[in-house]
Amino acid sequence: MESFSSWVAGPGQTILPLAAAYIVAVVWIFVLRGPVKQFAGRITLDTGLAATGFLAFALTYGFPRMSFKGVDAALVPRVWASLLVALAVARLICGLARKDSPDPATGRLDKVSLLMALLALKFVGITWVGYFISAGLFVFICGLLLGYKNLLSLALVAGGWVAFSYFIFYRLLAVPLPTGLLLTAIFR
Amino acid sequence: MQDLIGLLKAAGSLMSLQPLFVLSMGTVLGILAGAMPGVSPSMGVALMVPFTYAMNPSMALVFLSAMYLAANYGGSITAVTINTPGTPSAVVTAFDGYPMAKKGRAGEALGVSLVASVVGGVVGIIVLILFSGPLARLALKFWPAEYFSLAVLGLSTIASMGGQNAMKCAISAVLGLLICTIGMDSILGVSRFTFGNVNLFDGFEFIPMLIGLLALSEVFTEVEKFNFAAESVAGSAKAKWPSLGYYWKLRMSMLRASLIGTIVGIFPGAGATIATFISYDVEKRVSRTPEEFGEGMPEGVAAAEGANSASVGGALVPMLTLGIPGSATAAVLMGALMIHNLQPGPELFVKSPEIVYTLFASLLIANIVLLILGLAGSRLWINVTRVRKEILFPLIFAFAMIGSYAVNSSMWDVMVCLGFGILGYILKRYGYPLPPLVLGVVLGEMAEVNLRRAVMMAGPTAIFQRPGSVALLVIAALSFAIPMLQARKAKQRA
Amino acid sequence: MNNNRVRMLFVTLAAVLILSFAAGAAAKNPFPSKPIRIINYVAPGGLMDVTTRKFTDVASKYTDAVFVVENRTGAGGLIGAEYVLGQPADGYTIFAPTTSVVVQVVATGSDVDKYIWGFDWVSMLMKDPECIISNVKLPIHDWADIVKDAKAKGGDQIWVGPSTGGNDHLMAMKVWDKAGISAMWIPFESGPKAMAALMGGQGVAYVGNPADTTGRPDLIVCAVSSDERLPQYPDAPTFKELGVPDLDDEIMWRGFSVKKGTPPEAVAWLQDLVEKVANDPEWKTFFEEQAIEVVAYRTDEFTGIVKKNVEDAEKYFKQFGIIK
Repeated sequence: MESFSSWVAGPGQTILPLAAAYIVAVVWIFVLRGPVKQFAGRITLDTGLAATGFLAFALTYGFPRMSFKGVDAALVPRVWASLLVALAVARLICGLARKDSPDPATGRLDKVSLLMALLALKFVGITWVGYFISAGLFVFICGLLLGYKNLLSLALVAGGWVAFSYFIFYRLLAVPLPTGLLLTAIFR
Repeated sequence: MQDLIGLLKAAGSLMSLQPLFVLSMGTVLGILAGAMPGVSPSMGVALMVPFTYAMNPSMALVFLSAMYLAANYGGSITAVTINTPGTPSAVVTAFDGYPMAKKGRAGEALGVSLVASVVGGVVGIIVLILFSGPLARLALKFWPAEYFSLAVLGLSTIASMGGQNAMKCAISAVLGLLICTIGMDSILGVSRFTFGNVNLFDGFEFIPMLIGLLALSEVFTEVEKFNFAAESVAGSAKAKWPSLGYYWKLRMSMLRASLIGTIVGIFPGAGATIATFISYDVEKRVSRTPEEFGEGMPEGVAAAEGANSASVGGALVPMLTLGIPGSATAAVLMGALMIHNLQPGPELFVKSPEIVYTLFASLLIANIVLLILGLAGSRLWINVTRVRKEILFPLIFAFAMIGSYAVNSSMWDVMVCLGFGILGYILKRYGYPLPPLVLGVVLGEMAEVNLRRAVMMAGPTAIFQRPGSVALLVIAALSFAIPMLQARKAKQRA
Repeated sequence: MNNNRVRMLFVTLAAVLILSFAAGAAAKNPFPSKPIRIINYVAPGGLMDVTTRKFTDVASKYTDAVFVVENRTGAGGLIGAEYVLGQPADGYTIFAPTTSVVVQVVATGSDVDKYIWGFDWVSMLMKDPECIISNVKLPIHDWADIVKDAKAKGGDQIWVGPSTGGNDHLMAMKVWDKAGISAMWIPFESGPKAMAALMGGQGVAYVGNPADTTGRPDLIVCAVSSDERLPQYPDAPTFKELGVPDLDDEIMWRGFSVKKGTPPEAVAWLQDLVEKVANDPEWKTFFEEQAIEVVAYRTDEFTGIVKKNVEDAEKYFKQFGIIK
């Protein structure tokens, strides 16, 4: 037990989450081809939730051992984690027995994933070229992505947002919006 | 009687140009601070404290208290129009306010949230003036066991949230509770699920998480469903504003909400957000059409906003009678008073009663000013719902990111917001309701920490040793069981 | 013609640019040439937040420099420290810690070399004596009774206070150790919430500072850590009078630190300003009313105190099993 604890607190912190992610991925690929194809999304999600519960439960063994009056820091997380596992497994059984309604029809997943990518890009952009440039570009490109055609008014909206965030957040509310590593390096 | 005279005198002295101007400025700034996601009422008020150095203490108090009141209302504006609660306590307002706005009833939702806020605000302050002494003694009777049971009562409201998919609801809540255990445990200081990351020591920041779960997940969902070619103009062209009769029908909802908000507000360990959840739950249970909650019920908005604003008066009860701030914003207000060499607490009534009466009077008048300015403002805010979605969505994203950043000036929080946006979108896609998750996050810490404190103090049976705690647990058990029994009965009949 | 005008424009532009650069290089701006940010680790309204805001208010009498107070809360100050360490060491970002930050670094087992010795401890502003506070409404409220009760309960007596592993918790451990008693620490989210717990009778003692009792008539100081009785609290006995040794100078300090490697002129500028503020009557009375001793210690003295804090924290947290 003691050696398991120290493993969880050490390399287990990396290995366990990776293992959980691997299992979820394998399940996903497997159900996509299997007979329960129309439930693939649900099953994967419920597997993910169960895996999260298992992972959390396992990780609690890595917490430093300390207790005042028998109240351990690991107790409550363990209760929630095991509840999550139990409930998610119950859902999984429903899904595998095809008692649940099948996955919802897919809509414009392409746009959604592009949007997520754009958000990630903006996140990187804020760090490097600063908030104002990335936010302006983001509003503009995001509008295009969603199919807005009028470039001029889109540019106006983007500019308006930059002005708004500058005056309200940066000046009035004194929020120190990042100016970006590159720009700071140039203008120092 | 003496109170009334003091109050009238103070109110009279506020009825001149300068105090009214200061009051209005406070209200406007408060509404704006509340409406900006990421700028909490406490942060907004703190930002303005330096501007009060030059004012005399009572003017400073007029300004800051008006701001406090208005900021608690302001959070509802963005909650209704873009599903982005500007303050944590406005999250419940979004549950019904945003669906109303989506159906072209934004005018009604904004109107109800404003009027309920004002009613709640006035009730809260009247209770503060009349009953602050006995209420403060009640607050002191709340030991960890009672706080734990109050949290359980709050959690029992998921029973009425579920509807048919009770199991999904439970999963969502448990996930919220589990997320809540991330970070340094506040009893032993043991770090849990932090992976050595300093940013995780306090767990996830609440506001970015909320914005991600509610606003971003909603936009992702809408984008997936969005018919890019066909849809052009989103909202209806003409806004409908509610009549006086409309508000009159909601009077009982508002009153119930106000009382719940004030009572829960007096407990320093509870807070406005919990009050709104309980009030919303009560409203849903007394309603004849509980299934329509979450789809756009004005009663839901009234319940949330009434309780939220009433908690302002409630939070001032322990501040004025015990010197213990009842909320984060009350703490800032206390700090500001101390800078002006006034020590909040019971001695304030003796040493400078005029300050206390000025506070009461300015809060009452601020409510009236809030009503007038809020009505004018609503005419502006409603335009948000008329913006085309192709323009609105990029702006919501921009708002969400800057709001998440503003809380701690930290890019980590922006990442948290995006992460929870994606998580919320996936859960929503497969029919997992998000309100229970939010509830779990709100109550998880309160439940765990107080349970452990109680057990440390009095052993494993601690929560059953105190009558207040037992009473709350019984109510919680009933409120959990009754919807289930009713559902079973309905099934048998069918 | 047109060509000429364009060329003229370029030449002028180039000249202006070169001149401005030259001017910048020649007259190297004295510190400060832009706003100075003070980073608080507490939320708006917290003790150190009120202190820094008051500081900038009073400092504006002595300098034209612009101060911006920012709150970067979290992890008991580690978030704020981490942020300041990520900024350039140019004196334009000042960290505003208290004893609690130092103690918390030790309690969480974080990197002492990074979070404590990555800073230069340049200005200590004040010394707030630590004390034990009790509730007059409770049957047990003076020191002798607390000790008797603690011995009777054998470790089950309850003391309340803010976070585990904070400065007040450390003080409680020292007191238990020196007075030869044992008790239980029940932490609350904040000082005021713990005081509410004391008012409600959940515990018998709260560890804090004398000013915590102002405006809260139920609470009294039942033992204070200072050489002599405090003039503002003449009824509060010192630990020495109560026969508890070695607790004559336990304080909570508030101060300013900057990232290691900050240019000496920036440090000197700040230290001079602190000195002026420390002598300001408004500043002095504001804190002295709260029984806080206003000081303006510079790097050597301050660093010595921080070193002592770290040693004490390591010793007691090990003894009580908070860290290994």
